[in-house]
Amino acid sequence: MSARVIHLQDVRFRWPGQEVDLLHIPDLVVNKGEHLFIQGPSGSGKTTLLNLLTGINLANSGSVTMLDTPLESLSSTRRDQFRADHLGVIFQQFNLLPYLSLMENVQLPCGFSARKRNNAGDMRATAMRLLSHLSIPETLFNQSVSKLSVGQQQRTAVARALIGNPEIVIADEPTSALDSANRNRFMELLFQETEEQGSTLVFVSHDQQIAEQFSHVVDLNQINQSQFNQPQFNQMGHELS
Amino acid sequence: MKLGKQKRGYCACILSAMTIFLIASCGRAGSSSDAIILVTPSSGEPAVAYGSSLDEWEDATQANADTTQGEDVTDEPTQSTSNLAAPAPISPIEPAAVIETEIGTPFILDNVEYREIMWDGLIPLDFTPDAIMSKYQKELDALEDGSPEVSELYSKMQEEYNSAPVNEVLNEVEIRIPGFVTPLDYTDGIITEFLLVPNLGACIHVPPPPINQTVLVRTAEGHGIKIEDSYDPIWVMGKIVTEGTTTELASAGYNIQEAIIEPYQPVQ
Amino acid sequence: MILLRIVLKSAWHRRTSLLLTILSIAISVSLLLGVDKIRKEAKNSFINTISKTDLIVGARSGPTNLLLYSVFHIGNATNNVSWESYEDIASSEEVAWSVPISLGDSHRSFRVMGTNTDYFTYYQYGQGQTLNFAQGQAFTDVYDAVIGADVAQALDYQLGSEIIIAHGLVSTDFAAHDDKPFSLTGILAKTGTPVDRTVLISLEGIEAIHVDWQGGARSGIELTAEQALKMDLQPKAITAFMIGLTNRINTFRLQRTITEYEEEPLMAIIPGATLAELWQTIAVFEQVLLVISGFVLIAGLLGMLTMLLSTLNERRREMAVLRAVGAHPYHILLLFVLETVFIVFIGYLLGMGILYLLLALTQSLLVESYGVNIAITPPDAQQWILFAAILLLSVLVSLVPGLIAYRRSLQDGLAIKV
Repeated sequence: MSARVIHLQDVRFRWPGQEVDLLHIPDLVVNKGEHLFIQGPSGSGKTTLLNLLTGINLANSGSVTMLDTPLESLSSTRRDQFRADHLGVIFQQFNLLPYLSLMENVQLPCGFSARKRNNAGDMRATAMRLLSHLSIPETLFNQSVSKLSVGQQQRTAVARALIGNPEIVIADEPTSALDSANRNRFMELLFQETEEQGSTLVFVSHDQQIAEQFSHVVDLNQINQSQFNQPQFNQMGHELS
Repeated sequence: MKLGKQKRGYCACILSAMTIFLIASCGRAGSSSDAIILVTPSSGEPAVAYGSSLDEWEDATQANADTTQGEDVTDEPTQSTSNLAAPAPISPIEPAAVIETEIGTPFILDNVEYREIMWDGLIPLDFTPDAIMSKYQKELDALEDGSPEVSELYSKMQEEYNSAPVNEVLNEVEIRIPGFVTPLDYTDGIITEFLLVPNLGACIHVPPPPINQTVLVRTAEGHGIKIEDSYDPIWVMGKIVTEGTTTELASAGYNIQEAIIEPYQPVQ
Repeated sequence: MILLRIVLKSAWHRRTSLLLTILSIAISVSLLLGVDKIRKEAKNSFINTISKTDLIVGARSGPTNLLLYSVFHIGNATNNVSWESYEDIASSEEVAWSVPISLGDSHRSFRVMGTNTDYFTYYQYGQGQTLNFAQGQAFTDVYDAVIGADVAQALDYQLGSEIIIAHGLVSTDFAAHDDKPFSLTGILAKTGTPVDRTVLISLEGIEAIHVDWQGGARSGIELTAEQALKMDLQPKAITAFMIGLTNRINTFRLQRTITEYEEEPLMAIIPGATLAELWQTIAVFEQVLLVISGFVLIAGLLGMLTMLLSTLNERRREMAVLRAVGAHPYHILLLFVLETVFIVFIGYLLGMGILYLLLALTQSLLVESYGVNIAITPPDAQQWILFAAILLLSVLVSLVPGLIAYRRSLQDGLAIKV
C-alpha cells in the first residue's frame, strides 16, 4: 500500500441541472498518518467534497482514489461498504443515535463492518478503552445519550469514528458547537487517538484558529478551480449574497 | 413539491394495492375452495325463483345454455293439469334403450365411467308423459272439450304420473345427473345428505315431484356441499340404486351413496 | 443482526406513540377475528341443533317461524295443531315416528316444552347424537320435569327440586301455576343446543296446569294438583310435531299432503332445507360485518402509515448517522419495513390475546343470555392465512415511508439539512 491514502485527480463535480462545475480539483494528495486541515467557509463546496471523499457521491469526471481504490470503480453498495470498513466520520453535531446507549453507539460501526469488528476484537473492552481515553466517565457508559454534554457527545463521536481502526477519519466541523475549553480538549484527544492508531485525519472547518494546529492546511477556495469559486455560490449554483 | 407528489403517488399505489387485494380475496372466496374469509358472494337469495328448472338457471346466469342436447330437460308442470305436453320423445323400444339414447358422452372421472342422464331418463318408459298420454288418448278423444270428465281424466293421468315407480333398468348404474339440492343432514356444518330434485325448491303451485324425480343422495367424504352453495345446481355422480319394487312405499326410491359432487356449469 | 437491534431499540425509544399504534391495530384485529370466530361458531351450533328429523309440522305460518319456535324456542306459534290432526298424520304409513311438542310456558325465563318420552328417543342433534341424562331419568308422573344442562347450572337445581311453571314467557307471580309445582326427575347432559336451556314436562303436565285456566288467566274454580289429576289430561292441541319417515324419498309427497290437509291449515317444513335458507339470510349480515371489520383494519394500517410518515423528518439525522457508519439506502428502507412488520406482528398477537380474553370473560354470559356457545379454540388455517396476508399488507404499507426515506438518504448523504 502506498503512502498516498487519498488522491484526487482532476475531479469535477456538479449537481444535476447545474451549468457549471461546483467543484474542480486538479490535484489533492493526503499521505498516510497526515493531519489535513481543509479550510472552507459554508457554501464553498466543502460538503460536496466530503460527500466525494466518503463515497456518498461520485465525481462526474476525474478520479477519487482512497487507499489505492478508485471509488468510481465501485458500485454504490461497494462504496458504502468501503466507507463502513475504512472510514470513520464525525459530524458537527447530533452524531449519536438517541435510542442507543453510549457503548452501543460507539460499537455501531462494527455492526456494519466485519473488518472493524475483527480489528476491535473484544468490542466492549475496546469501546470502554476508547471512551476512557477520551475522558468520558465510566458511569455514563451505559447511559442514554441525552445525559451527555455536547462536549462529551462530540468526544464519544470520536470514539465511534475510531473503533475498529479505520485508516481514514473524516471530521466535518466537529468543534463548531463547542466552547473553547471543550474545543481544545477535543482537539488534543483527537490528535492523540488518531496518532495512536496511525489513522489519517481529514479535518474540515472554517475555524482559522484550529488550522494552526495542523501540519497540512489547504484552502478549499484555492484548490478548487471551479468558476464558482470567486463569488460564493451554494450547491445549486445560486449566488449567495 | 417533488416530495409531496411522491408521497401522494406512493399512497395511491398502496391504497389501490389494498383495494385490489380485498377484491381479489372476494373473488377467491367466491370459488368453492376454502379461501380467505373476507367476503362470500352469496346474497342470501337463490339466483333464480323457486321452481326454476336448470334451463332457467342457466338463462339467468347468462350462459350458453345449449338446450338442444338431444332432449330438453322435462318441462316441469307449471300449470296444474295441462302439463303433459311432452318434451322430445324417447324412442319407444327396449328399456335398455333408455341408456342408449341419453345425451352426452360417457363421463370419466377417476377411472369410473359415468353415464350422463337427464331427469326424464329416470322415468320408466311406461310412465313417461308421452306413454301415459298415448294410453289414454282414445278416452280423451271421446270426451267433450271442457267437460268435467276431461279434468277428471287429466287428474287420473297426473296421479298415475305422480305415483310412477322407479326405472329398474338403472339399478347399480354409475350415472351423472344434474339437479338442485334440498338439504337434509349436515356434518360439521356441511350438507352431507340431501334430496336431489330437478327444480329449485318446492313450488306450492305444482304437484310435488313423483318418486322417480327425486334422488336421495349421500355425499362421499370431502364432497359435502357448503350452505352458501346450496342454492346452486350441481352434478351428482355415483352408483344409483333403485331399492325394492314399485308399490312398496317404504323401500321405493332412487338412492346414491358415496356421491361425487361437482358444481354445475352450463355446457357450452 | 445489527438492523434488527436498531429497529427494536428505536421502537423502544418511541414506545409511547408506537404503543398507541399497536393498540389500534390490535383492536381492529380483535374485531376481525372476533367476527370471524363468532360467525363460524354460531353457524356450527346453529346447524348442529337438529338432525335426522325429516319434517316438522305446525300451524300454517312461515317456515322460518316454525323452525325458530319449534327448534330454537325463539318466537311463538301463531296457532295450534289439534290432537286429531296430529294423530291422523302421525298414523300415515310414510311416518316412522313422531314426537308432539307443546310450547308457551316458561320457568324463570327458561322456556318450558311439553312433550312425551319419545322426545328423548328420537330428538337428535349434531352428528346423530341423542339426548343423554347426566342425572336421573325422563318423566313418569304428570308433575315430573326434566331440565337441560344450562338450566341446572344457572338455577343450581338438583334432582327433586321444585319447579313452578309460569304461563307465558315471563315469570311473574300472578301468572304462575304455583299451586301445581313440578318435581325434577332428570337433568340432561350438555348438548350445545337450545335443549340445554329448556324445561321439559309431559303433555299431561301441560294440560294439568292449564286445567283451571281459561283464556289466559286463572278462572274462578281453582283445582288443586291432585284434583287436576282426576281430569282428562289428554291434550286437545299441541304446538307442533316432529316426524321421521320410513323413506326420505317420500319427504316432498308427505310435505304436500300435510300442506293440503283439509281438516286444518297446517304446514310442514324440511328442517335441513329451512336451516339452510335461514342461514343464507343471516349470511348477508355476516358479510357486512366482515367488510366493516376489514375497513377498520385498513383504518388501523393507515393510522400507522400516518405515524411513520410524521416521524420521517425527525429521523433524518438518524439516517445520516447510519449512512456515515456505512449503511446503504436500502438498509434504511429495510429499517422501515422491519419496524412496520414488527408493529403489525405485535399488534396481531395482542389483538388475538384481547379477543381470547374477552371470550373467556363473556363465554358463560353468552351461553346464559343468548344460548350461543363460543368455543375458545386456537385459530384455524384461514385465520393464519389472514395473519400472513395482513403482514404482507403491512410490508406494502411500509414501502411508503421506506421509499421516501430511501430517496432522501440518497439525496441528503451525510449532510443534515436542517
